[in-house]
Amino acid sequence: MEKGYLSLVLHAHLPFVRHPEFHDFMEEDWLYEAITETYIPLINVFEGLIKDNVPFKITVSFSPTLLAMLRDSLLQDRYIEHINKLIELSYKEIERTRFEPQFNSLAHMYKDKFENARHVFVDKYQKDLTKAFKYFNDSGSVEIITCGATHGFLPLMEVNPAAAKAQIKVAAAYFREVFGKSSLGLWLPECGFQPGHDKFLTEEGIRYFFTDTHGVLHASPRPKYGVFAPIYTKNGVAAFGRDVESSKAVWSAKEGYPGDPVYRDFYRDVGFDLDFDYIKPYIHSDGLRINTGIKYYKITGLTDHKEPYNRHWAVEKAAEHAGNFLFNRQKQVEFLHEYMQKKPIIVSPYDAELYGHWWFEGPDWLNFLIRKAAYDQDTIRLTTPAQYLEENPRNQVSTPSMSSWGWKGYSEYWLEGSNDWIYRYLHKAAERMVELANAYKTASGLVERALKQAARELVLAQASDWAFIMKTGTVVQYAVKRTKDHIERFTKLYDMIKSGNIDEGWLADIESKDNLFPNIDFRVYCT
Amino acid sequence: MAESSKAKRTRARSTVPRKTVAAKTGAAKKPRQKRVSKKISPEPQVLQQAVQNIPQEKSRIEESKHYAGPVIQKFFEDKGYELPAGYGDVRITLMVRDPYWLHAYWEIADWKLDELRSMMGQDNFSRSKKILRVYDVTDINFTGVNANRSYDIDISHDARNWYINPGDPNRSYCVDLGFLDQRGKFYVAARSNIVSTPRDGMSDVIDEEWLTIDWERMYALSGGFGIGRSSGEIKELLKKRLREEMSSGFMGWSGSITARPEKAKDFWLVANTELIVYGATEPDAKLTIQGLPVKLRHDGTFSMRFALPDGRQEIPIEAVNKQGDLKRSIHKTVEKRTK
Repeated sequence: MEKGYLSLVLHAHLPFVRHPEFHDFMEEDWLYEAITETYIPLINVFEGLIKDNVPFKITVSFSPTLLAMLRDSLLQDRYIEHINKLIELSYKEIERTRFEPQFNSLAHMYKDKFENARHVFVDKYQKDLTKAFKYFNDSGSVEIITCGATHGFLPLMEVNPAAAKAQIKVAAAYFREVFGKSSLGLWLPECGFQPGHDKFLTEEGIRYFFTDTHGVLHASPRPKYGVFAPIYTKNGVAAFGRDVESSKAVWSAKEGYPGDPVYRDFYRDVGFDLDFDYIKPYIHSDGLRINTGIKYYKITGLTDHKEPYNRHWAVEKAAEHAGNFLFNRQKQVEFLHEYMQKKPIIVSPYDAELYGHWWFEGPDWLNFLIRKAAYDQDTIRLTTPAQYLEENPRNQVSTPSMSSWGWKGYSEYWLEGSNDWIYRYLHKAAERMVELANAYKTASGLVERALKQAARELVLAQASDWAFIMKTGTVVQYAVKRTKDHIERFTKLYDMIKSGNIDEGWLADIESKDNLFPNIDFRVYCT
Repeated sequence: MAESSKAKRTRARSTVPRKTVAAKTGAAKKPRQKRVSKKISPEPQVLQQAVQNIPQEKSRIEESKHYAGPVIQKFFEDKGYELPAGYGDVRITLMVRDPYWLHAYWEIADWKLDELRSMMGQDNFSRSKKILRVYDVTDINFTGVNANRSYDIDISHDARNWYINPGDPNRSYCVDLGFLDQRGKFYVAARSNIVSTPRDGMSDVIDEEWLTIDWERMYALSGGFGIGRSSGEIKELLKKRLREEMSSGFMGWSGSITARPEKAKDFWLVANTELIVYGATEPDAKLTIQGLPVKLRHDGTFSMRFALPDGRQEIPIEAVNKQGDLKRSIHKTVEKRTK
């Protein structure tokens, strides 16, 4: 009999980036890389586990923007182009590295990996990877849950709660559309919790969400079991707090597993390393060098001199790290069980894109961890929050503290000198959307189309990614432009709807560009 | 230092470096950012320190995305839209940044300023100070005069937003933007929404049904830092973690654009060699290099490119005609050394 539970949670999210007006748009690569390096490797891990009848439970949240991109035919076709080029490059690499066996075997590895990605993408799931996750969700082992519609950071919408409510309602509706059932849980974007928003979750039948450690730990009244049991909000939704220790093992740059010297180095990529004339067809069409995904070196250490990657050793290490992780959780659970006189739940959430893309061996680690948890011990049982609640329905009622899992734990990452200017526009647009929804509740035809598009533009503008990028200082220009574009489009729609003079040609054009959530219900903004 | 009728305040300008955004556009042009702190607040140092503590690793990963690239420029050429400077509203909006800090932005339309000017008298108005009056309205139904306490912040006339540091977590606040005349009379231009800051530690409220013997210990265990540490220590560690760990969507793949870690030295050189073996035979012949088949082009030419490591490479090249009865071979030996 187990003494406690481990709930692994992967959060998958990418902002909606889709530019039909450009053939080769670099930010779209974010999606293509994540498909090859994270989503398909995870699909392979889950398929393998199901095929081998390994009992397991894991939770994966998908942001609706990511789902929308995975289901978009333009991006699907562009992904096939992308993977075909990578396959072509990997064949050339096999030839080119013939005198260097240590690299040659890696070139073969990449060729296999890319061909497998194409096979999974095209043959198995007919270009739509959400089918894979629907299958996993239906199988019962993987609990797929939703997120905010566009990953909007909800605490900063507090001045107009209807905006936060709409993010949740649109997400919940889109989830039902994609997966054919309601989402049991919801990943609050950036774990941003604002007391009161739990009510919106209840309305959608959502039973649980996650907060960072201090969200639950600083809840009121004091949570008896700390973060090792969920608490119910007054509205009856369960909040699960993130466990610090297991997070650190993976997340920490210094102490975390992904920094081990034998693991693959992220930076050394043939896109940068190889002769320009040779690599040109595989980098950006304007000659800008970018990562291709073919990387031959291991982290090695704090040195510029990198040693060749050895796949075998790296996989061994991933197994060792999985064992170490499980051992530490067993000790943790044994102690807590004794201390609490109750089975603790350890909640370990991670960004999905950490696995495979950033930490190349992450999917292997996960695979080993799940298999070891199933067969090598019985202290811990893997669970999902929904299953936990079914087995442990009695929990303390307490209100989590406003919090996020961002830097410093609150809203600062999205509200500081680089990005604070956006909120006056976002709030105004939300206020106007509420005004429109109330005034044109019964609209149909062209006006309804315009209202739906206005709702799309608003939620796109609200994506937390734009503020995030402005703060990190990476592709700031792009994030600023996206914020302005969506506000502009929204404002134009607002003026057109109010004046009763809708330019259908222009509307059709932006409908074709910002085409996510085809069935969005603008009435979610009615108050 | 001007004195308000309510309270003395010192003004501290933050030295945290701030970026300006899209300075060209009217609306995105940022008013100067200031942090005004109360004397009692320990926060500015903590915050500054925290900013400096962003781990090296993170910054490096993040910086790797700076370059937007030439083709992207096309995307930015379309300069049709500038965000409006305002909407003609009279409004101040308050947001919570963390347990200690709030942020307010506002717009006071000209008609409201005119109204205040005529109400106050032109002279009185122009000698008045623009202030934010911060009210602690915790647990009350705020009417404008019954705040638990309040204090004023002098703000510059052109400011459009402000970071406010009332200092106390787990309190509710409301802010008035207005003008304080020399007699100490306050004219409100706009009143904000009410917000509540989160607490920065364990709640004081205990539910009798859910009691435990040692709250501090449970707190410590949840922090995951081992057993027996004092809660003070745990809180420090938890705070430290919050600062160090910036775990968010972009971290995982943010290196995807110009992902070179910075070179440790100022100057560097990398040189590699590749070997191109090329030639031609009959278009329908079969060709091998080092025993491995090579695909000929339609005209019978071929070209192979190999990374050339140090050492000696034996490169036998063999062609056999279509009928299989004629064979030609060339053997090349290449030696490369790096000094």
